[in-house]
Amino acid sequence: MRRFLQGSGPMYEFVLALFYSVGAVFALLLAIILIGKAWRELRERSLRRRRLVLEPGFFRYVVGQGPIESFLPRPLRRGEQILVEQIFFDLGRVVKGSVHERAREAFERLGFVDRAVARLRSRRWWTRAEAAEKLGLMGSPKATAALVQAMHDPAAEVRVRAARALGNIKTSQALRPLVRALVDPGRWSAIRVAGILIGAGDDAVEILLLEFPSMPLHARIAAVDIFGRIRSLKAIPLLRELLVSDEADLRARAAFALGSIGDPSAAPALVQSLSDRSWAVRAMAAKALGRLREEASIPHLCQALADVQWWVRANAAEALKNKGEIGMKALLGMLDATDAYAAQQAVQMLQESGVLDSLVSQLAADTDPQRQQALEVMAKLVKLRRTDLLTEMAHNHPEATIRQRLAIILGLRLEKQPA
Amino acid sequence: MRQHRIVVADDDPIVVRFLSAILKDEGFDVRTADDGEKALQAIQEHHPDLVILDLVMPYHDGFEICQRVRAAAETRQVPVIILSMKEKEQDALRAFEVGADDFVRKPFNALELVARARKLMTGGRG
Repeated sequence: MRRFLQGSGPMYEFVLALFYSVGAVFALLLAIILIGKAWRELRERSLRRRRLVLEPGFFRYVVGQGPIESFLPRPLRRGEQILVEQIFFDLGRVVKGSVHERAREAFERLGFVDRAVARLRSRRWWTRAEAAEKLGLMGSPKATAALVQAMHDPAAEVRVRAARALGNIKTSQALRPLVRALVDPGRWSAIRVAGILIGAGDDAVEILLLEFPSMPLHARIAAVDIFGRIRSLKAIPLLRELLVSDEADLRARAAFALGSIGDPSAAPALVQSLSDRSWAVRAMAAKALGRLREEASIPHLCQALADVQWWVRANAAEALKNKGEIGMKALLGMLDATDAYAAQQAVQMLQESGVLDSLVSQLAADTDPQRQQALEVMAKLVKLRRTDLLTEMAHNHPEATIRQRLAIILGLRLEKQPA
Repeated sequence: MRQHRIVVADDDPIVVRFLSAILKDEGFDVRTADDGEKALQAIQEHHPDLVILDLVMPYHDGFEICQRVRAAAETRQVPVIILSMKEKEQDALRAFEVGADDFVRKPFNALELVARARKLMTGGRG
């Protein structure tokens, strides 16, 4: 130990050698990290420079005419494919219109589509997934067959990206396998496939309409939801037919979809559905009618306020509120309804929408007709035994005049409050 | 004839480079800025015939820059187009309230934007 402390002996030599070895390893690792970082930065800088050289030609190409080759400043070098892809993908994010079509043409002519299709056959799943993703962004129908095949890939990520890519391509050949996937709930998430089809818009509606008669019930239900989400006018005739389908679930969802689409010509058919034997259909029909810009359904919605099911009554009241001033007048009229449920539902909606508050404020109005209208409504509320609402306001309303008038209506003795 | 001058301000570099390239090809003299501060500086120095502004930018947003353009005597008549990625209807209304001449949503149609720019510069403010 003494020799070690004096700086000599085999132990001292060993510790010194160990210290130098560890130091050398750390120095080497540090050098590797620094060189790697410098190399990456140099490479990125070089790529940025090369991108700036290539970009103007591509920008001119997308807004111009003629093949991509005539816009390139020089033939593409090895490794520049990724730069070109990035330029087009970045442009696709901020620009719409013919730019996408021109980009697709360029991807096909420069052989990028063929290369990505070849990468769909890679042994590594992440390479296949990346290729499927890129093919979706390229949007080339040339990749359809390969992507349809990739929908059966053993890796779920590849299957999903292939499905999304087909949704971007939007041709009937690309969309038909997605519609079939909707039918196969074991292998595909219906929500995910429906989301892709919704993204494809009206192109998907045509295929769904064609395939609809041969679909099983669960797929039909999903298709009806998709029609509503896309708000497709093309689907209206089918949705109207479905309002009288044997399946209550289909009738209810068709009613909801017709409301989402918002075509007022669907109102008479939806009014019929207010008398459906299934309460779910009646509730959805009431909700849908609330979304249509028409007034002919108002008396029918008033009748629906007396439905035996609370959900139907609530949706009918909400629908009347959505009709605006004329709907509110109808709700006020329902305070006289002989059916207690209908009258109470009307009270609740008038309260929720703030109409009762404004009527109570009218008790202090200067003009007689306004005050008279408010008094009449208050009298109806008393008759309906909804004095709970008025009593609370009689105690807490900020205006002394209104507190006093409500107290008179209710026959209350109020404690004196500051005016 | 004097070249029309345009200031394009957007914090998304691809938008700036793309618009700059296609507007230059159309024969316009284009200056670019990637934030609100630089946009104000470019407008002051460049005396543009048109300003294209992104709505959301660092330091000053498109609304604020548009208000300042309208407030200054020397730029009061300069047409302004506001570009926005947002879907909100209120943004378009606010853009017109602060004095913008046009409001274009991203993704935008490049050729349509060039046509709008040309119309605003040759036809003056509406």
